[in-house]
Amino acid sequence: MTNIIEESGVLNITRRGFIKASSAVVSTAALASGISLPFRSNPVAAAVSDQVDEKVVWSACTVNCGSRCPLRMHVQNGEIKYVETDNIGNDEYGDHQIRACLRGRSMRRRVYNPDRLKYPMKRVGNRGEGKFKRITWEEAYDEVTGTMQRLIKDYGNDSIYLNYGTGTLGGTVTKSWPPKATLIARLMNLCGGYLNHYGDYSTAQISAGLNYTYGGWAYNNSFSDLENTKLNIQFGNNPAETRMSGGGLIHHYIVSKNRSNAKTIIIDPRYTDTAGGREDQWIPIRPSTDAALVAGLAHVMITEDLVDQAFLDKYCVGYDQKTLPASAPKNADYKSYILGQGDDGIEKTPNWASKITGIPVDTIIKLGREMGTNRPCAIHQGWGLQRSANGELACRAIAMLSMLTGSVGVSGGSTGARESDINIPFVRFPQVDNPIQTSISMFLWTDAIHRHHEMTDKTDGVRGAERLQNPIKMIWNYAGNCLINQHSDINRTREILQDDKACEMIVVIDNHMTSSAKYADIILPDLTTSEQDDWCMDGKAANMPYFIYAQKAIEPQFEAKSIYEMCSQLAKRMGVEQAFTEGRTQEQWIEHLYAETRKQDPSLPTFEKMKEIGIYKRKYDHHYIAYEAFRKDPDANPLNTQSGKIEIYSEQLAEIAKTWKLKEDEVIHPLPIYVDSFEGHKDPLTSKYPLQLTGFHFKARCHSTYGNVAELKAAARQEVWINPIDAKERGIEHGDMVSIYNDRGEVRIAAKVTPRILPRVVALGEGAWYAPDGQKVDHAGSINVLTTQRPSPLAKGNPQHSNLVQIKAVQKA
Amino acid sequence: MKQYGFYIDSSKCTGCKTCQLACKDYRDLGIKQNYRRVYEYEGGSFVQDGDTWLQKDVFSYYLSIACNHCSDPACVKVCPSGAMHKRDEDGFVVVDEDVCIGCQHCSNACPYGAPQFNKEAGHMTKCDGCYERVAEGKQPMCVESCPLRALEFGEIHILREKYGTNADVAPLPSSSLTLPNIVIKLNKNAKPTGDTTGFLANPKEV
Amino acid sequence: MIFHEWSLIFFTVLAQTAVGGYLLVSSRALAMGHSVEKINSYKVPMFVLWAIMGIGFIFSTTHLGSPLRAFNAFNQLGTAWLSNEVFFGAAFFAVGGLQWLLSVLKKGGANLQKALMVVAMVLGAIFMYSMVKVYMIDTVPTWFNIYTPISFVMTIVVAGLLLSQFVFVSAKDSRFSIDRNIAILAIVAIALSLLATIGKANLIGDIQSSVVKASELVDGLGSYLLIQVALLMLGLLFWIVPLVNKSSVSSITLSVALILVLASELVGRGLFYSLHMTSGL
Repeated sequence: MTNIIEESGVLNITRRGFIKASSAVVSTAALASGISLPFRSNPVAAAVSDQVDEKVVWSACTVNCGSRCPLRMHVQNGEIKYVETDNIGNDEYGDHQIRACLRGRSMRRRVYNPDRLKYPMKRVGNRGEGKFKRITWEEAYDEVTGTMQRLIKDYGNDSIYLNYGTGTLGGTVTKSWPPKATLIARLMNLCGGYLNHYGDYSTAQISAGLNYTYGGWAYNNSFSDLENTKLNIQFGNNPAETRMSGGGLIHHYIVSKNRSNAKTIIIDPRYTDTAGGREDQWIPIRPSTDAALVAGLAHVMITEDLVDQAFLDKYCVGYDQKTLPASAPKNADYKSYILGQGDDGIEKTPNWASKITGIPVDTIIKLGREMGTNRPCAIHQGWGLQRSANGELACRAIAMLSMLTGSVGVSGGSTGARESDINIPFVRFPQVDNPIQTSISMFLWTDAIHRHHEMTDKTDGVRGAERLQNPIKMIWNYAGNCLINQHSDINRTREILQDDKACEMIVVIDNHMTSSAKYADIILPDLTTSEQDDWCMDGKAANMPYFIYAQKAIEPQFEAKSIYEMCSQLAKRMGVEQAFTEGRTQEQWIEHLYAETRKQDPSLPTFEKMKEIGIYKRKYDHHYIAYEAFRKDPDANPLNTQSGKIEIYSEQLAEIAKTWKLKEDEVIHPLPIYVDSFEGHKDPLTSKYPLQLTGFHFKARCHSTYGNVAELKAAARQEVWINPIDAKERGIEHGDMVSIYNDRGEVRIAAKVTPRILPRVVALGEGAWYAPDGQKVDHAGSINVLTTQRPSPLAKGNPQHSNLVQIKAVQKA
Repeated sequence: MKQYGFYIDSSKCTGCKTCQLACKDYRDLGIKQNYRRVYEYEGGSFVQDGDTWLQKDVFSYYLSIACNHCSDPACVKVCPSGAMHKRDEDGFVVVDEDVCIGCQHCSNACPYGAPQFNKEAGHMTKCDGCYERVAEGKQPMCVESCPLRALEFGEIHILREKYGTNADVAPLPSSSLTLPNIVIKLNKNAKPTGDTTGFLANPKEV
Repeated sequence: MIFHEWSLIFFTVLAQTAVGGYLLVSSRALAMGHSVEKINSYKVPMFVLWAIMGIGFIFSTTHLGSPLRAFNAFNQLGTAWLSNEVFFGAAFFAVGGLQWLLSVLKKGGANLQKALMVVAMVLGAIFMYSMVKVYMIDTVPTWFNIYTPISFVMTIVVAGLLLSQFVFVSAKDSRFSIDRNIAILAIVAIALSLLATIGKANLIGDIQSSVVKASELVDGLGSYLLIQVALLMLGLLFWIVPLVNKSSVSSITLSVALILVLASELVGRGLFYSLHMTSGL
């Protein structure tokens, strides 16, 4: 038998058990019939190895997940065949490999996606209808610059808006956010400027809120410092799903936590993958009630004399009467608020907090004691809880716990903000100043299209000017999906955008036919990271920062061009080409920026070396300790707040609270107090829509990026999480199709019936690609059909986790 | 005889599925083929108490399972064509796709879901332990991909020396059935084989 | 829907019917010492039996993903029960078919045909044994139990009895006492078969892994069981009512009974395959 096969030349694998075992009967039969067994479909194919031109190219994934991952593209005959990641070195923690997540490993399916935009296109149907015709690049450039020049002449540069987009956040030349760092801004600023935006969909409320507490962006200790802590408390922080890759923070989190073996408490309405058996305690909490829990914990610590009074006296403003600013009314301090001696006269007992949060009283008391007796403790918050209607207050409240426990500025401690990282300084693309000072909240651009005349600093948080002078007439939408998919209340946005007399020109620059691209007037097809060179950095990586030299792995697909090429061509037509390019090509800029960086830091590898090694990591043997210098010497190293100290009571906020025009159910407060918020669990609307819907970052996507990769969609299905108690009341079983709806819209998606979520709360991963039918019902599970465009009070940010909905069964699985 | 195997640290695994997708990319698999699969097992409940909710042992954990290259492989035992075979040189259980008749009996027998029928090709497919990479001294693609370092690969006797011999946890079958060459570090939440208090939460993803 | 494994459902039921029928017909021929003329006179009804077997084999190949490689199914003869099943099935078909061919061609004497009959009967029995063993997989708790051999044997006995009687009647080689005896055997067999079905249903209620409950594998399991039993009883009715009136049994009523019994067996086999699960994932 074996002989027969060898003679026929089909034994192309190795010696085989089954062949030996095959019986003489079969051999005889085979001999007799002259047929060799086993039958093979393709006897020689495996033995032949075609000569292929194979190379391995360092590229990267530059999307906005917080990590940046090197991808090693295996390219054969000009096509990416498969993707590897950093596999260099021995992967010792601290000098470990930056391993891409499931999305980066699926980059090939993104690059060669059937949704790729192939040519420049111009809208032919109604806006949003998705009907386009192919045009040439020359026509596209002329159309864009012609219209833009007219709009600038008729309305002014402040009618041109750069929409939020973070699809290439990790790039340098290709960087898509913040707006001023983009090449579009460089182009516009050379042509008179543009209407700017502040804030971002990720962190609007925490940026605004903790700015008043710590002064500027609030830092926290790096996750690597968890190895020094005694107690690890994570408020709505879920690095397993938001910082997934190996260069990202879940790896740091788990290794560091395992080193200290610190007791770990996860406070979240969902039993997250960060918990997943790695926690000592999961405390499920009603969304938007974190500030109430904090007040209850503060009550325990204050009444049981567990607070770090010396720290509060020395470093903070407004904890008690002693440090309250002169401008503040009596009993406006935090301690009075907690003990019921403030305005509201309510004592914030654990019992009070329990009723609001849904957390049992003894759990709150125990946690308060645990924190008070394990000082300093590591307290971090994710960005989900601040993305709510009272998010500015909630994020400040959590920071209170770090102050009460005196944890700020020391190893093993925390600030209550989200974890921070050490970075490697790198020279970025030079920016041109924007002649236009006016800036709106990134969340209010839809309002600025249709009611700009009402928008002022006191009503809508307009900055740099008292009021908006002009409506938005043109939108640049580069590497972003906030035109439709990621902005709240898709149905309202659709209505506003459908009027092409209001906003007259929308230019979308992207890789794929996103739902935003469908609302473009002109589509300019962009290159993916795989098709060009760039520096990729800003990945969150605790105390092991790195940057990547992503190199062109394959030729540009179809007619796609780089953002640099597009902007250079547009600049040429606007008469500013030389100022824009400074005579450099993209490749020359890349070399130039690195040369400038090496001037500052000659220890970096040469450019040639970077080409070869692809990724440069720097190992630090210390951790990032936020406000360490301030803690050591607060007088020499004051914070960037008005007082130079940590402001529990903010005079600035007291002033804003007095002067801004707010709705009745909106609160801006000098103290981090708890308030019920719109579309929270106490909103009267709960009688109609009894479920709190919260979004979350889902492994199948980074926001909406990768949302069109079929393999990822199948591997991690879009489902709405619902507790068995709520499901049973509605006759819903695991896997059934359900309708989620409120007054803003309706989504149909399968239910994940799971005890991993608190009853009366449901959760839907954000970013699924909006797929409406003719009846305005979305069938992809796109959460923004259900979210509101009503901004939060202070940040004027997106409260995308404050949604009341109802769910009903639609179809049995 | 050499026998390779996998170490699966369920205490670290966050269910991110990078292993599953890295394999899918490298082996160029279609949507329905998953040589490595990540199973989500969970359970527990809530009880209302006035304004509060008491959670009763809510748990979840993940198990990343490919082929366990069993020492007593159920698939090989039932295969009529001999396509499904265990290699002498490394102990990998591999299907010879040129011999397989596509009767699918191996997938009837395997209690881990490893052999999968490819309808277009008309035969079975499965994890082959990346034996070609392993022969070159490399790791299987999935192992090298894990962002959490929850997967390890090596000769099973070495893995067992390092990590013990446990290969039993719900929802896996008793390891006595097929003698799988895996070592599992249990998650804190782990339930024993045969547990019926939890449920497989992602049947359509695996 | 319980018929997704339709090709295997038909193959196993038809094969069991044919083998059961052949064993009974041939046993009688051997026991009664039939002459070669008598054996040869069975050629037309026996064609029906071999046609049933042949259709069964055609079904078996439609199950394969790569039917052109069907011969590879023999590779593991001796070590894999599926190879054994295919081999002994084919051998039974070949030897029994040869015997039938001799009867058609009127070649070979009684002794040769009887010798072939004995060989075919042995091969058929091994074929049936192999078929049971194919499904006795220790990782499949819904198959790896006493009810798999019982239900397979009951199919062989009930359908075989019916088919053999059909052959006798069609060959005009029957009489009331034989028909009655066969019917009595059938009633006993069907009673056992019902007991087995009830027992199996009970067992299914107890089988559960961390992933599935066996009782939840099939939507409407109870209704299917009812249909299975109802078809069987109806078949039995067509089979024995003519006997109650002591009238002669016609091949027409027997055909109807055979179709009803086969339908019942097919439903039962559909449930068998639909209840597949492993003790793991």
